[in-house]
Amino acid sequence: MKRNYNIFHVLTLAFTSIILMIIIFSCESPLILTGIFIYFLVVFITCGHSKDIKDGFKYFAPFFAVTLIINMIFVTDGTIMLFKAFGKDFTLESLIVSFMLSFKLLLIMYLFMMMGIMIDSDRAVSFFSSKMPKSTLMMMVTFKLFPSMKNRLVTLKQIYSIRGVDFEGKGMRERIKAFIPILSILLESSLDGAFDIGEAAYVKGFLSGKRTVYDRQTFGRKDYIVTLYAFLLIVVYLFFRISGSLNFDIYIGIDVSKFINLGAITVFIMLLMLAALILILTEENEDGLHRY
Amino acid sequence: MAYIDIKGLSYSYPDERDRALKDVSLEIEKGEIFLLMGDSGSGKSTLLKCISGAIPYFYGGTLWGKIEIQGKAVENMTHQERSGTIGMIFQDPERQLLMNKVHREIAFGLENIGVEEKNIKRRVWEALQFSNIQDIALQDINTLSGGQKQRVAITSAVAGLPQCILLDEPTSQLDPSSAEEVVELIKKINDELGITIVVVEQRVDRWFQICDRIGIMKDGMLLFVGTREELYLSDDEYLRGFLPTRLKLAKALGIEKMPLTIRETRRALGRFEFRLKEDKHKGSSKCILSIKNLYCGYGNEEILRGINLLVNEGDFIGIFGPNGAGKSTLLKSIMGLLKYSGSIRIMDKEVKNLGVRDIALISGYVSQNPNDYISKDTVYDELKFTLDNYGIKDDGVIDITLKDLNIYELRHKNPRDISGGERQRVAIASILVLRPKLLLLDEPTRGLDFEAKRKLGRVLKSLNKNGTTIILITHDVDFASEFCDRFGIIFNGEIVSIGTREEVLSESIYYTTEINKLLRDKNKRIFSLEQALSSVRR
Repeated sequence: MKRNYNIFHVLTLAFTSIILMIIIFSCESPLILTGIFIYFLVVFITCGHSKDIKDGFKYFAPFFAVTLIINMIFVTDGTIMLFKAFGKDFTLESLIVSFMLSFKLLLIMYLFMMMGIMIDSDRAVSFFSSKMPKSTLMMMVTFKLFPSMKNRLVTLKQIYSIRGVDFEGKGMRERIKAFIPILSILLESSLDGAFDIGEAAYVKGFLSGKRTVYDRQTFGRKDYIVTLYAFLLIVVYLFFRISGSLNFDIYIGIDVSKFINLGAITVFIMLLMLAALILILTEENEDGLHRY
Repeated sequence: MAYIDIKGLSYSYPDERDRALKDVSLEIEKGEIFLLMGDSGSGKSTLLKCISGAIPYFYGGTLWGKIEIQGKAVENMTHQERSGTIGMIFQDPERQLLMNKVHREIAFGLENIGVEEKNIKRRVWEALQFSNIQDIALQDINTLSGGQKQRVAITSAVAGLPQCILLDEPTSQLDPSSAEEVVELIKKINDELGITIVVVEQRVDRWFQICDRIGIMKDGMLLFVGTREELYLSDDEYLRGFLPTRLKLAKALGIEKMPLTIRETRRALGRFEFRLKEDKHKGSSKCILSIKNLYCGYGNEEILRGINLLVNEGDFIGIFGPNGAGKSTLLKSIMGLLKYSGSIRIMDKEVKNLGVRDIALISGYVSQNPNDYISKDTVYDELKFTLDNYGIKDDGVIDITLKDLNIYELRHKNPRDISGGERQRVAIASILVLRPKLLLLDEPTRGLDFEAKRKLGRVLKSLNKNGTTIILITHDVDFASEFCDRFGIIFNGEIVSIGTREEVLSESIYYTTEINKLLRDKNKRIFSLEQALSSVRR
C-alpha cells in the first residue's frame, strides 16, 4: 500500500526538508549522510517512487566521475597512495572526498525529489499565497514554465537539426554555439510565457486583496510531533557539531573514531527514528483511514 | 442603460506611438452573447483586455475614454471587484491554468476574490458538475487534452459567478470536436446563468449560430455593430467576408431572408441546381514517398499502427484526424526524428539509413509554431542561417524563395515584427530554401485569419504547381478542400481513408466542408463556395 505523505501540513514538510538540507550542506560525517540517505530510501520506497532512486544514481554517476577526476588531479594530500602517474600521487583520501562530495549532491537531488513527492504543490501555493503572495507567484511561474520549456527544447532541437544545426559537433565550443539560436528562442518564449501566466493570475484576482482558503489544513498532532522531533534533531546535531565531535577531515588521517563516534551515532539513530516516526504517523487502518 | 458601456475608447500600448484602439464606442446588453470579429491586429483582444481591466492596470500604456460596467466605471472598481465581476478566458489553455489539479484550479480564482471559505467547496463542485467535468476533477491538469483544459478554464471562470465572461479566441487551438464542446458550454452558461458573453473569434461558423449581436473591427476601429441579420443584409464586401460560408453562399445566390440554421439554408437552396464539370486530378505516377507497415510511438506507447501510404510527385495531400490520432507523429517519423519499424522510403532512400541533415535536403518539415523558426534579426538572415548550416553558398536561392512565398518585400524586416501569416511563410521559407522535393506542414493555418489563410493557400498551391509535393496536416477542412487534391483521415494511428476529394470528403460524416454538407444531396462533388457559385443553375 502506497503511503500518502500529503496528510502532513505543508509547513511541517517544509521545515523538515530545510533541516535535512542544513545537515546535508554542513555535515561531512559519512554515517550521518548515510542516515539521511536511508531516510530518503524509506520515503521513496513507501510511496511507490522507487524509480526515483535509480534516476538519482543516473545523475550521480557522471558527477562522481568528473569530481573524482578533478579532485584526484588537483589534490595530492592524503597518506594512503593508490597509484602514481604523471609524477602525481593519487590517494585513497582524495577518492573518498570525491565520493562524499558527489554523494552530498545526490542527497540534495533526492531531497528536492522527495519534496516534490511529499508536498502537494497546490496546497503549498494556496498556503503560501496568503503569507507571501509575490514570492509564491514567482515560484508558480517558474514551476509552470520549466516542464513546458523542457518539451519545447526537444521540439526546437528537432527543428534546428532539420535546419542543419549540428548539436553533436566535434568540440565543446561548437556544441555550445549550436545551442545559441534555440536558447534565444527559449528565452523569448519563456518571457512571453511568464507574462501570460502573470496576466492570467492577475485577471483571476491574484494579489487583489485578502485571500480565503479552499482546503484549509490544520496543524495537527502529527505535525507537532514531527516538527518538534525535527527541531530536536537539529539541536542535537548542532550541539555535536559545535562541540567538534562531527568535525571530519579525512586528509588528516583515516581514523574510525572520527566518523563513528557518539555524536555521529546519535544523529544517525535520530534520522532512522525520524523515518520510523513518519511511517508510524502515516500508517493506515484496514479501512484506509489514517489514525491521525 | 447598457450593461457594458464603452465610450470614446482609445488606447496605445507602452512605448507605442500608434493607437491600438481608436475612439471605440460600444454598448453590450446584460445577458447578451456578443461576437467580436476582425482581422489579426484589428484590436479585438485589446478591447477585451480593456474591459477586463488588464489594460491599463497590468499592461500599462495610455487609455482615453471610459468603460462602465453596470453604471460603474472600471477605473473606480478595485482589482478584487473587477475579478469578481468579469472572468476572462485566453487562447492558450496551457498558459492560463496555474494549479496542478483540476479542482484546485477552479478554487484558485475563488480564493483570490475572497469567496467565503464555507462556500468555496460547494462552488467548486457545483461548477464542475455544471460543466460536466466531475470525472476529471482530481486529475493532474497536464494529463488533460487541450479541449478539457479549455473547459477547466471556463469552469474556473463560472465558479466565481461573474456577471460577464470575456473569451479571447477560446477555440483557436482546439480541434473541431473540442471546439464544439466549448461553444456548447458557453451557450449553456449564457442560457442557464444569464452571464453576459463577449467572444473574440476567427472561426466564426459555430459562434455565429449562438450570438445575439456582432461587432467587426478594423485597424483599431469598430466598423460594424449589429445583429446577424443586419450583417447578412449589409452590402459592404469587407463585412460580408465575416459571414459563415453557408450564408456567403445564400447571400451570393440572392436569398433575401437570412436562413438561421443549416437546415433552413438547405431548404432555401432547394430551388437551385448545381452542375459541376468533371475535373479529374492528374497526378504523376512517379512515387516520391512510400510508407509500408509503419509502426511508431513514444516510449512504450504505440501511436502509429501499420501505416501504408504512397505519395506521388506533385501530390498535395491534406490529412485530417482528431488530436492524438498520430498525424504529427507521422510527419516526424517521415523526417527520421522518431524511431520506427516498417519502411519509409523518400525518393527510394530508406529514412532510417539517412541522417536528419540528409533527409532535410529532400524533405522539409515545418512544425505547428512558426515562432520556432525565428532566431535572427531579419527575414533574409533567417533563410541564410539554414543555407549556412548546410554550407550552401548560393544566396540567389534566398531571393527566389522569398519571391515564391510573396515575402520578398519583408526581407530586411525583423521577423518578430511581422504578422502571424507572414511569420508562417517565413518559417516555410526557412525550410524551403533548401529546395526539398517534399514539404511536410503541421497545421500551418493555426491561428491565422481568413485573409492570411488565403494567401498561404495560394502560395502553397503555386509551389505545388512548380513541382513541390506537399503533405499538410490540418483541422481546417475548408482550407484543405480548397487547395489540396488528395486527402487522408487518420484515426487511432491508422489511415482509415485516403483518396481524392470525392472519395474521401463526399463520403465523410464529419471531415467535409460546410458547403458539401449543404449540397451533397444535389451534387456531392461540390466542396467550396467558388465551386458552388460557378456551378449554380437556377
